[in-house]
Amino acid sequence: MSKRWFIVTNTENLEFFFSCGLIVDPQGFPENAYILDPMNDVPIGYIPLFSEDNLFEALKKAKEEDVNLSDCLLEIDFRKLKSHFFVRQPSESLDNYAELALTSIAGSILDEFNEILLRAPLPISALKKIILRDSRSQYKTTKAFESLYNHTSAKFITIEPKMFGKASQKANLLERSNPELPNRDSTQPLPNRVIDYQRIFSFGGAVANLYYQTKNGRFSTKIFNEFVSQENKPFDTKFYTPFLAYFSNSPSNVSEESALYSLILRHIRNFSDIGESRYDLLDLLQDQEQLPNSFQRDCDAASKSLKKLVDRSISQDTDSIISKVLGYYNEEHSKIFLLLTMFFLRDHTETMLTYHHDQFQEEDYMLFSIFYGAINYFTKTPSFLRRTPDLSLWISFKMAEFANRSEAICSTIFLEPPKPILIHERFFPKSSGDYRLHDFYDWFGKYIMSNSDNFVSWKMTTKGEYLCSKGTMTFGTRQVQHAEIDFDKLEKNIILSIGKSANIFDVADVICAYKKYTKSS
Amino acid sequence: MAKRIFRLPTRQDLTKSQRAALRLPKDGKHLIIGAPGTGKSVVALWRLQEIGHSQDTVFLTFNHVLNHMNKALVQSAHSTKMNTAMSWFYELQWSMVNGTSGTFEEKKMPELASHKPDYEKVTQRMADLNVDCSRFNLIIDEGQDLPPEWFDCIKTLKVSNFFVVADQNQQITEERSSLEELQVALGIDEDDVIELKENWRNTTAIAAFANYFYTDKASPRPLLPNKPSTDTPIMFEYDSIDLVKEQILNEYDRDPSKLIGFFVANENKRNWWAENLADDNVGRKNAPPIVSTYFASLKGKVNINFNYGGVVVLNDKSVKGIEFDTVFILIDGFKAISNDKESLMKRMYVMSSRAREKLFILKSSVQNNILDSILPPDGECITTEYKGKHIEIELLKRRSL
Repeated sequence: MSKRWFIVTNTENLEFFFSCGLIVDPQGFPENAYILDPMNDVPIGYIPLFSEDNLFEALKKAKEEDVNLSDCLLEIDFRKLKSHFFVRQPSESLDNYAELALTSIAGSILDEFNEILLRAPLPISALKKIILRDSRSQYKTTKAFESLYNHTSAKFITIEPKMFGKASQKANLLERSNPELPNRDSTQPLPNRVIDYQRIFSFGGAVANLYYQTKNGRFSTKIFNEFVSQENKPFDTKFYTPFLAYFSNSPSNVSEESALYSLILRHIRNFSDIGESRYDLLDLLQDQEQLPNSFQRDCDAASKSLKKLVDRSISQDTDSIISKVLGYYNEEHSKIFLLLTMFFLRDHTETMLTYHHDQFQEEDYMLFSIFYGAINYFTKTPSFLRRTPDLSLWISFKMAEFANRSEAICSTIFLEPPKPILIHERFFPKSSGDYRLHDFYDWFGKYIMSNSDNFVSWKMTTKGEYLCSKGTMTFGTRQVQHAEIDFDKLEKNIILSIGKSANIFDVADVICAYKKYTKSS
Repeated sequence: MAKRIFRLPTRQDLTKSQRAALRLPKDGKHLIIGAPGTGKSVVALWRLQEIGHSQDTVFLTFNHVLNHMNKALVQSAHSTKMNTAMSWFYELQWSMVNGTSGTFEEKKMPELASHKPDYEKVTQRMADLNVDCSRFNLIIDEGQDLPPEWFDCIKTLKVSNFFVVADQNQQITEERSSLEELQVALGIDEDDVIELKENWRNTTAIAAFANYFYTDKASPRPLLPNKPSTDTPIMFEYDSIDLVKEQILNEYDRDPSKLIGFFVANENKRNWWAENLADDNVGRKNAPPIVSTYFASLKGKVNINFNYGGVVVLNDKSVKGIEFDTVFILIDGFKAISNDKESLMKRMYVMSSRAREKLFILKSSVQNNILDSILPPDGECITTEYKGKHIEIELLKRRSL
């Protein structure tokens, strides 16, 4: 393949792609947010790519809505994308396309065309380069990307004014031959693809928040790994099982509890205003027709209690309210009411993440995280979390993979970008004699408002004899000090640190400190 | 002390018309108007974020508290470009005349009264100096609070790049510009004025309550957002002042990441309440809030930390342009001069529209209160259509403490 291929859009839509974490078709935009670009002219659910000799009309389209828009070219890296694509014979009907597999045909055939369609959505990591017209757009776009993805290279967002010129493109177009499809009979009208972006963004939000909770320890890390790959496994009963029906493509044998979770998530997800979503939620909790039978009475009672919270008829503090809910909704009752109470007490993911209650279990923090992530979407993931090294690009890939799994035919494969570091998988070996790691433990102890001695046992073993006199120990050989982690104590100390400091626990800080102390890259 | 979720909304959070205003060319004169909550200041701050890296961009606001709050919202690199319009104007004049302590009397700003420039004289002085400031790019928040003469004077410096956001119904100064005067001062045709219509800050409940006090006869009431909310404004009637204190401190303790604005009628009350709220001996889950306050003679020394939760006690004259997560308005002690209820309505309009999430009115059960007579009557509702249903939204709930 010798041609360069581009998505042609404007920087307004591009910044939305950055924000939501995916390159989406117009269905993925919130109401009134999409600004006309060439995607508007192709069947729903597809993303058009234009070859470098066919950009002019597409660029015009990207600025059609407002002359002050900045057009841009997003070069696709086909090395990271193995996808089927759709092509149209110029002489045929506008709606007729043939599907070809990029992997199964020679690149030279693709070179015959100047416009192809890919199935939406694509991960951000599919982008090779972002090309802009001027330095003002470059400054804005670079700032926007850096603020969400933590880094960018100078070569990734560039200015190439020549790419926006008309003359050379027109000349190339005139020279273009009429390409032949390998099998002309294979063309057919391309059906619109309805994509449930809400669920995809929910998944991304939940994964991001769950990633945050992996700081809490081995259990949270295990659950996180399970959750991101759960689609391929039969559902076994876990504390987060009620959420899985919502994230599943075709849930079967859904329990009433799962149905309630799904109903609530669909009702309040992607709210623009917390007061409005709480209003909607109270409305739902009183709607006997919509609610599963076995939950109608509890929902009604919950709505009355939550109303009292809003009206300030309850003067108890937050801890007492949570204790009361935990006491009432014991093992036999659904945790959904604990989640809803938290939703009425903490309106932002960040303030939820910093709320600690003595009776909370590690799984409670994970449930809150899935719930808040699912209703807020990936786009509202706290900015400190989005800037965690490798996290945003990896979740973008995971969302694209999740979306692709919804297809009957799995036809798009993305190359997985690096997975973000899970600190309990990497930074805390059972025992280590590396003094640099010991220094990191000291730093980490202070970071969680504790002391490394509270979770590390320092051990020295000697091969030979040693002398002990007046408190001085004399060894015949050089000693190696080993740090042995008491994981239970480490995890307890991390949990206890929640909300202690005005600064939130930031995995990026921990990764940065680890690299600094251990001199690793 | 907990960190507050206080940051400039992302570009994706902005409405389409706000983003269209942001795309206006860097150069030229632009006037953006809109009612409270339509996000004018957000657009102005985003404009600063986008063009602030060029050296001669200046962001001006009318009052010190607003300037301080805005600084907390933008990247620190840009905060050095932010000032109040008058401070900047005085500093500019001083630097242009190369003022020194020895020449202070001769070269200081010509004034009609303290802090009231003699625009005629200073305009003449600037014209005589023939300074070319065409490189400046001025972004002005709350432009309606500056007099037309201020703009005329700046224009003698050949400044031609203005991005002004304004709201005619929020004029709080005597020397102020009407919309027409701003258009004339900036040389902008009516058709080129961009109006932001969508209330974006408040829910329907708070916006409808604020709208109840809208007085401008020249322009229509701001459009109500279609966002019903659980957070209907509530009026608490209290018997004892201690209950007011407890209510505010309880509200803070419930979520210490929230910044609460507590607005009172006069300086005496402001001072008393700031001291009283800071003196909290009740054991609570969270540490007591930082209680801060501000009064006019502090000028630029604003000590309110908008990035952390806490309580801020303010006289209603200092609240313009700023916003709080939760607002308490103590309506006792407000007075109408010459029975001018319209002025009181305007003050209530500005105060109540400062609340982003929750609004509480506090009223003594024993004192007579002039504001009581302008509040919505018990049971007053508006009807709106929401998700295919007709719903009623109460303007003000009433409860006793």
